[in-house]
Order: sequence, then C-alpha cells, then structure tokens
Amino acid sequence: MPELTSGTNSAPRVSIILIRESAEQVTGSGCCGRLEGDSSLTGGARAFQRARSQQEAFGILHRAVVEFFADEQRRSELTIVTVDPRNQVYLFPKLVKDVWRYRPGWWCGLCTALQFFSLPAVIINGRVLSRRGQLLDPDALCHAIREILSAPHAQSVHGEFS
Amino acid sequence: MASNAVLISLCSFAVLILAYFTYGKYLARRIFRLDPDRQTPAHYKQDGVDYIPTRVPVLFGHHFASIAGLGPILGPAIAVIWGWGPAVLWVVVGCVFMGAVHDLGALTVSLRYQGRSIGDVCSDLIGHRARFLFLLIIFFLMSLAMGAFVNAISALFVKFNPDAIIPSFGLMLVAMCIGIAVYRLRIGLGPATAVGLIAFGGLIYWGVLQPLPTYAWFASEETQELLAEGRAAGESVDNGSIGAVAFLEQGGHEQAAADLTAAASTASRTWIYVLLAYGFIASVLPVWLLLQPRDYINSFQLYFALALLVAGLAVAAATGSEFNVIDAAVYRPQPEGAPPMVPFLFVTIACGAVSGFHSLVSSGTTVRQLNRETDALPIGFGAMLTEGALAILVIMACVAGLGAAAWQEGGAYATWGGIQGGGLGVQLSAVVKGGANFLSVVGISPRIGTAFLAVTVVAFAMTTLDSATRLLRFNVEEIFRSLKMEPLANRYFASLIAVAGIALFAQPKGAVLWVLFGTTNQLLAGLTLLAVSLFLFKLRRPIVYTIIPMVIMLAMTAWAMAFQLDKFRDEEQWLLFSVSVVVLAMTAWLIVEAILSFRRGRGGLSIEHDDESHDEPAEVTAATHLG
Repeated sequence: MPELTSGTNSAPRVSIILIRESAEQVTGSGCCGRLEGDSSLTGGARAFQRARSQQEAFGILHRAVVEFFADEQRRSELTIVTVDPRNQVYLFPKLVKDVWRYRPGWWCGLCTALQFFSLPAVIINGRVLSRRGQLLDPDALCHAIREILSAPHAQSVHGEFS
Repeated sequence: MASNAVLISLCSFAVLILAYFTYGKYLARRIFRLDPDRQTPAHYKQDGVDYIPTRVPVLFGHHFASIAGLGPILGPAIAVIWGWGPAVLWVVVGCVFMGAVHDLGALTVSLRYQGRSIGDVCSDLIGHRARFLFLLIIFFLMSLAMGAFVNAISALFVKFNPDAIIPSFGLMLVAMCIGIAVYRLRIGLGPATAVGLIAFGGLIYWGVLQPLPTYAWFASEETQELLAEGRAAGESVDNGSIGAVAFLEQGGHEQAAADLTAAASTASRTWIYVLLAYGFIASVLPVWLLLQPRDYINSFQLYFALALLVAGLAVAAATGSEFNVIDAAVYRPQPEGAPPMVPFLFVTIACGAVSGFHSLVSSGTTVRQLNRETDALPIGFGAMLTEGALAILVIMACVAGLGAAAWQEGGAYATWGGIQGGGLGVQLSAVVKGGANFLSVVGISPRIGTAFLAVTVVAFAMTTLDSATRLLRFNVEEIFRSLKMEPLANRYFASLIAVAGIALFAQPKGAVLWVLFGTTNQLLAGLTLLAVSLFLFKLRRPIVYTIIPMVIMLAMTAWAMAFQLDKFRDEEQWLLFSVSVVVLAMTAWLIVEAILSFRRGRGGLSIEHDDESHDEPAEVTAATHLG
C-alpha cells in the first residue's frame, strides 16, 4: 500500500496541496445537520451539483498525479494532500511550512502564505499553480512535477507554470 | 463548597486523554483489530473525489468540524440543572464508554464494508426493515433538531440577545460577498477572508451599539414609552424581553409587563416564521453563494471561540478570578419541577456524550478518506473525546462563568420552570453569558463577548438549518419511494413536507423539545451500536463493549419516552404525545430487530473477514502503529 507521507525526517521533493471544498463541509456546520455520504439521504450528486463537479475535476488531477508518480509517492519523494479551505487550523501552517521549506521566492511565498489565490487552488512546493480558480491541465501539472523531480535538489517550480 | 472550574476541567481532560491511550487502544487493537497493513477504501477505491487517502491532522480537522456544533452546547447547558457533577460524570463516562466506542465502531464497520454508509450497513447486517427504520429515525431526528434550533434562535433574538440580530443577518451578507468575491470575481481567499472578518467584527460592534428589541415592535405605545423613559433615565434596562419585563415589574408596571410578555411571544412566533422562510430560501440558493462561504466563516468562529474560552478559563484560574469558582451545586437531586435525573440526564446530553448523528459522518465521508485502518483511533475515538472536552467547557461556562445569581432563587437555573420559561434561549443565553464572562478575563468587553458568542451559536444553528432543510427534502423523497408512493416523491411536495416537519416542532416547548431530539438521537446511536455488535458477533469477537452501551441507550430512551407519555397526555400536548409514541414504537421495533438478528446466528456476513489470518505478527504490527 503506498504510504501517504514520508516516514523519514527529510522533506519530500514535491509537496502538492489541492484546496477544494470537501463534500462533508458543504452540508452544514456542526453536528445534527450532516447526512453526507449516503446518496439516498443526500440525493446523490443532485444535492450540491456545482461543488460535486469541482470535486470531480480535482479527482482527475489527483488520479493523474497518483498514477504517474506512484513510485515517487512510494519512495516518499512526493506528497499530495487535499484540504478543505475551512480547515485553516491545518492549511495555514502547512502553507507557511511549505513556503519556508521550498523558498519559492519572497513574492510567491507571500502570496501563498497569505492565501492570495482563489478557489479551487493547486499549490506545489509553496507556489500557486492554478490561476484565478481555473484548474490546471493534468499534463501541465505532471510536467511541473516532473521538472522538479528531475532537478538535482528540491526546489520550487519555475515561473512559466505559474 | 466552592469548586475550582479549571481543576475540574483539567481532571476531566486528563481522564479523556488517559482513556484514549488505554481503553481506546485496547478496543482498536483487540476488539476491532485495526490493521495498518490492510488496504482502506481510500486506497483501493481511490478516485480523488470521495476516496482520498488523507493524513490524520487533515482528516481530524474535517471530522471534528463535522461533529462539533450546537448539539454539544445545548444539551450540557440544560443538564446542569441536576448539578455539575452528574453532567461532568456523564460527559466523561458516556464519551469514553459509549460515544467514542460508537464512533470508532461505526467507522470500523463502514471501513470493512468498503466505505458504505451506516444505513446501508444496517440493511445488510440487520435486514431491509432496518433501512426503513433508519430513514424514519433520520426524518424525526432532523425535524426535531431543526425545530429545536429555530426555537432556540428565536428565543435568543427576542428574550436575551437582540444585539445578535444585526451581526447574524449581516454575516449572511458578508458571506455572500465573500462567495461572490472568491467564486465569481476570483479575488484571493486571504484578502477576502481578512475583509470579511473585519466586517464581521464591525457588525458585532454595530449590533452591540444598536440592538434590535423586536419584541417592542409588538408592544403598546405606553409600554414602549416606559422602556424608553427607563433607558433615557440611565436605568439598566436589559435589551432582551426577559430583562425588560423584569424592569417593568420592579417599577410596578404590571400591566405593561403583561403587555410586553405577550409582545415577546408574538415576536418569537414571528421570528420562527422568518427563520423557516429563510431556511426554505437559503436551501434553494446556490451553495457557493451562501452555504459554503458562511460555513467557511463559521469554522473561524468555532476555533476562535474555543481558543478564547480555553484561554479565559486558564487566565481565570491563574488570576484567581471569581469565574473560576463553581457556583452551582455538585448534585441537585430534585430541582423544582424538573423530571428525574435518571433517565433524563442520559437523553439530554446527547451530542456531548454519545450521538447517533456521528455515525453518519463517520460512515459516510470520513471512512472514505482514512489512510490507514489504525487512523480510525485518533479520528473516530479521538474526535469524540475532543467533543466531550468541548461539552466540559460548556458546563463550566454555565456553572462557573454565569455567576451565583443564576443558581439562586429567581435565577435561570433555580427551577426547571426557569430554564423552560424562555424556550431553548435560556440555555443558549447561559452559555453565551457564562462564556462572555470567561472572555472578559482576557480583556474582551462582556458586551462584545456576549454578542460574539451569541452570533457564533446562531451561525451554527442557521447554517445547519438551511442545509438540513435541503437534505430533509431528499430524505422525504426517499421515504415516499421506499413506500412505493412515487408521485409524492417530487421536490416541491417533499420540500413542503420538510419545512412543515420543522415548523411542527419549532414550537416554544424548550427543554422538552430537546429531550425528544436527544432521545431520537440516542435511538440512532442504539441502531448503530446494534449493527456494530452484530458485526463483532458474526466475527466471534467480544460484543460486551458495544452491546452494553446499546442496551443502556435503548433502556434510557424507552424509559424517558414512557415517562414523557404520561406527562404529555395529562397536559394534552397531543403532538408531543404522538411523537413520543412513534419514538417508543421505533425503540420497540429496534429491540425486536436486535433479538431477531442475534437469533439468526453468526453466519451471513457478506464481507470478507480475516480473523483466521489475524496472527500474532499482525497484532504486533498493529500495536506498533497504535503506539
């Protein structure tokens, strides 16, 4: 079973953050209002169609990365995490940590840490790759990852992808 | 004897943590046999949409935000009427031996059923009738919960916190602006959030400066003049109707006080209609416009309020503040007019101790993101214990933060009638005022703190209301379909039934309504525990850890309902009587299903299980991952 995270102390060479709303998060706040997960109770895809189509678009990106970089994931060279923007307790420190670790440049780093990006967003090694909420093409994403992996040291992606 | 709130809280937290590392690990290792090497649905069904292997910190945040809300606030705030001792004891014991076991069990069973929902699993394990029972419980549960929430908000707006009206409705506008900014104009999330939170702060300040005592709109001119004169003369006239009525009574204006009481009732009813209309409209608005952005702001409110409450309690302890002293009695055997503590304590505190609703979140969504089986321990068991800690904080806000006056004659908690008098607003107000006193210790003005906490609980309730109305509609459609009444399963009729269901229960019955909700919630917990017990039974594993909580839950539910039946019949409250009969019938039905299921024996498990292959090395591996 491929592990999600590196069990070692060294940083993965590629850290991908996918920011999108989780299904459970759009069905209310707190207990007693959530029925997510049971399609007969939520009307399946009908309940939140727009969020659903966005999740499915992210699914394509996610699957592309998982399929093309399965070995890298297994070797803990690449991590991918899907976070809900409401989970700021995790998201904010994670963004700051990635910026600190991968040094994407002060302006890019500032934009990432202060969340100057619209949703949904794709962030690789502390740099925002998605533009104004438009999702990346899976090929472009995989190309950006390949470039980082082929570089001698962990780094941020080059400007042309951003 | 005065007790130390921080000490009690810390002791409770310590027990919860200890339970995690002992009982939780024992269950995970020996009973549920979580195996870090067995693939989870998140891996073998990975699609990046629903099934995503997710790290524990991320998933914990998502799961906790899904289970923590108004439930663990309202229940404990009512239950302290029997003293803080039983409430704390039930939260801690219930959380460890029932709630956390229930959540972990639901997560594990769903895990082994390829991430299917608990309703599906019940159908598979118990039978098709269980599926219908499940749908029926859900309908009553959601209708009662939403009815209680609508009741609580209207009471809070009218009787206690008119200063929360402007910020609460202003927050919707702020949320819509954030929705448009982020999803349409594609402005950055960070700047939009910053502006939104600043605007939210401004709205709270505006609400404090300009409360909207809507009850006055329905009062006579004479009464309004008396109140205005009182305020102009610098007298302390509370903005809520309860305080205003007390002011008039103290001044000897009995007629005006009666007029204002009637006006407050009219205002409460009007608010109920307004909120129902809001629920209907919000449920048909695009999700990105209101629901998502307001949920987003709510998450800040939840964590901000939690952090401030903890900080306030800690500073109160460090500085020897009066708010660190518990004013309530440890145990009040028979508060005036209150129902007996047993069984009502066990159904009043539902979400803070054990909640059937959690099985929906655990089995439906969280399970599909579990990276490793062993992660079920921190997510299922751990998140429930954290919710227990939240319930402890709420109890302390009521018994220490509220001040001694609340527990003396004439105070809100002096009698059961006192906490019944203002609907569920009394309990919310107790938490809000008690919490605001804790916040005042860290330098936040009590008026600002009160408004902030009031808006926070209102926001929880309203977000739940609009999404629940939407979901209830689908539930109603499904019930009609399962009854082969397809023509009635259309969205308009189903929506109408959904809103009518909520309206039916949105009546000023206060704590009684909450008890009904709690009972139904415990019934769902009983159903889930039955499914988990059957699962373990078929695998020839010990079931004592799940069957005892199930029996206790069902016994308390039946006992409480039987007690209520007499009372409702005597008081000729036929709606509540009918609901109690239905709940009692569902309980009996569940007991029959349980007996039949166990009599069918151990066969018929439709999933693969690997007990035979569960050898000693696997145990060692699991033990390593579980610590």
